[in-house]
Amino acid sequence: MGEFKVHRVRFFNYVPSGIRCVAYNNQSNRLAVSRTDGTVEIYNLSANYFQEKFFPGHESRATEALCWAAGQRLFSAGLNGEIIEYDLQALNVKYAMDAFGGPIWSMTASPSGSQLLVGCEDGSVKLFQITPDKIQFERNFDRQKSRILSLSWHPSGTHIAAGSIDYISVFDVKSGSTIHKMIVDRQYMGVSKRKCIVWGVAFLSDGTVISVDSAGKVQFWDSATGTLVKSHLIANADVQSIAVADQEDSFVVGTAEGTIFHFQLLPVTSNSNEKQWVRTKPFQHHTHDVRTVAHSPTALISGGTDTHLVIRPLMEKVEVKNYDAALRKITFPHRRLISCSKKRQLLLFQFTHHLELWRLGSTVATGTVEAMCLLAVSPDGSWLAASGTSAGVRVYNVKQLKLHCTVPAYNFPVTALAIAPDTNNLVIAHSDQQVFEYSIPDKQYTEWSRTVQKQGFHHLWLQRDTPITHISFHPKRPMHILLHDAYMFCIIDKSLPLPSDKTLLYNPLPPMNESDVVRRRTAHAFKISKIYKPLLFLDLLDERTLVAVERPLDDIIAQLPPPIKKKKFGT
Amino acid sequence: MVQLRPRASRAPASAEAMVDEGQPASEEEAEHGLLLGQPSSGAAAEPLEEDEEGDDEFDDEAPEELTFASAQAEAREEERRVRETVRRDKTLLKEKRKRREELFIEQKKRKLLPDTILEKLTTASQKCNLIFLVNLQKKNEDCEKGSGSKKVKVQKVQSISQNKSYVALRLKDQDLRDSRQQAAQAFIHNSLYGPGTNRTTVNKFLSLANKRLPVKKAAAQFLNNAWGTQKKQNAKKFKRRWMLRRMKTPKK
Repeated sequence: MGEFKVHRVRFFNYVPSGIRCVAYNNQSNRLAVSRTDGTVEIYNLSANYFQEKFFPGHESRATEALCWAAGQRLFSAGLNGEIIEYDLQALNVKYAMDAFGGPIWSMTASPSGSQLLVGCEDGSVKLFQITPDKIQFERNFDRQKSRILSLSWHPSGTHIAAGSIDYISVFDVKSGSTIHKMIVDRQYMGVSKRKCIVWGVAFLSDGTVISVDSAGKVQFWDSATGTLVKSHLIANADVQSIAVADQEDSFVVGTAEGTIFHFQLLPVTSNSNEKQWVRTKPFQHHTHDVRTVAHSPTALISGGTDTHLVIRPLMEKVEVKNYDAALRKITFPHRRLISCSKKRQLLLFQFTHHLELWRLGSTVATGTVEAMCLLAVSPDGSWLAASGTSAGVRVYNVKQLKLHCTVPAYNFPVTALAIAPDTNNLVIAHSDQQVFEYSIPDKQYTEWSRTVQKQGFHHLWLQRDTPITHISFHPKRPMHILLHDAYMFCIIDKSLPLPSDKTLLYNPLPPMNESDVVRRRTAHAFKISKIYKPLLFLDLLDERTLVAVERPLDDIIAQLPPPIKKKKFGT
Repeated sequence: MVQLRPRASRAPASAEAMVDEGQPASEEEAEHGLLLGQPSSGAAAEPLEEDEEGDDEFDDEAPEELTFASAQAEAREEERRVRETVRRDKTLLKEKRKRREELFIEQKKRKLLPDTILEKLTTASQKCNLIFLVNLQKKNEDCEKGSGSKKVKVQKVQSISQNKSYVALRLKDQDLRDSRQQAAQAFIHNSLYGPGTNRTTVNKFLSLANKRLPVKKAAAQFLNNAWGTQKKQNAKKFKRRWMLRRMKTPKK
């Protein structure tokens, strides 16, 4: 395999921004995630949780609410007072409509999907009609005294619950007038000076309104009489989000301490008809505030200020207990943010607003603004491969400027592309961890690729969490493919036999006297190393040198906003 | 009809006359004269008789002879004078007001756009009146807060000049919007990180685990690299200067 000198780069100061809202679309099994800097990402949950679409953000478009409506249309609203619709095909913002109510704090779509409701800073609740190409203002509901921070529709579409500061109001949709105004206690069985902010409300079909507030309470109200039924104190800090499942037998809440709680509707005794809401499971997967949660049919999704997106499948809902039922934590971006120029020994880092160019060995920084997309150019400059949202990777002949061929479509999105230097083979990695090799001159899959597909990959290879983000080649050894994801890098040697399911995939690495030298003693093609992690980028500079850009999690956490204090005995 | 009686002029005159005669008596007379002088505002004529009464005590001379005609003439003169002053005052006031009005008109003219553009606007508006009506209606539906009228202005400008494409924005609206947005951001920052919330630093949070280990370790960010930056910079500069000095002196 060879010895390499490795440049370990740890100064790429990549800090992702915290997650502000998530919205789950049941029909297409997709998750829309919006962050505090305004970026919106769309994850395809059935394609191995791959981030397939990305809308770069701007501080002026920082979102406070995100929702799916009318099938596959995505809307967001923020503190600049505008409702934005995103074009999912063209990957840009379709339009931004000012709601004229001041900053918008909350937004929800009607159960039928044809209407949109926004809650504004001035206390007004505005109803919009969704037309085929735009949205149109319909009317205002009764104006309240303080800002409307959370909204929820009754599943039948007749009533609305709106959470504000120190109270919750229930509106009738047809007339727009308030039916009940339910006052929330500032502290659980006590008095407090701080106002109680109702961060989330949920309306169930039996008329129960569930509210979560900044005093750490989860409260159940009866909307017919406007009274409090039950109150649970679950945290010492704010409870900031709530999401109810479609069947209304379970819901999840997220707190500022980083814990999420699962509540379920269970019978009181084993054979009684009477049911009650019980707090069943706590999960501590976050260190900072959990500002948003979502409930899909089989999993609990949570995201917050610590920038991780955590998807926790529920054991009782999952049919087959396989690897799919494990916890998924998405921390690192699924796109490549770093590119390397081999001849000049330069590294290009992509930040949100600027680019940094670094020379390996010395330090230089410059800045411009650009855009990135999934492209690959062959080293001799004659072929260009591009993958977009539509199926199939297209290969263009650069010299003649026309389409050469299209790789057959595959139902999982492409995560990485590269063209080998001499053989002009296109190597494609997909989000389900499949790797294909396609010969561009021959316009068909290579022999090696066909053998791999016939035998199938090793099961451990397929169970990797993070997608392959970069592929590169060794200039002198055409049989090697170097690829990496966030936790490992691997050199595939096409000349060696493929591993079967029974052999060990990860081989033990004997330590050498030099820490930068990697050596393997194996007999199969997949040579994997897990030394450098978490890995953002790895590439071959020249024959003897590798560059690895790592981003330790601690460095990211050190730059996050302050978390809630936790008192531990003995400290 | 206003009749102005020159009563005030009489009273001081009588006081002066009496002062010449003698001190104590004159004071009395002065008081008397004055007292008599004031309430006589109702009487139209002959305050001279009081004077005559006062004078009688001091000298036996005959009182001044004033015929009725002369007194009448004097009174008429007085009246005429007064009327004149009033008329003059009125005309002066009128002039002032006139000048003010002209000034205002001029200022208003300056504020409005020059005539050419106004003409263009009026002619263009006549052309597409119908579209405006529809737009206005729509806009009135949308915005009822009062900013609607301003938005209508913006709409008008947009559709008139179709050769040039620009959008007119009221800066006042933008300021209001920014201030509202800032207030909203301040609210959320205050409610999450403000006083009363139980927040701690990331360093302390990550170091909790270190403190509870069987072998206690240091905090996650033990060194504070930002401490004393100015001091360190000064020390660096001093060192450099000192080195230069040391290098220079042996050469001498």
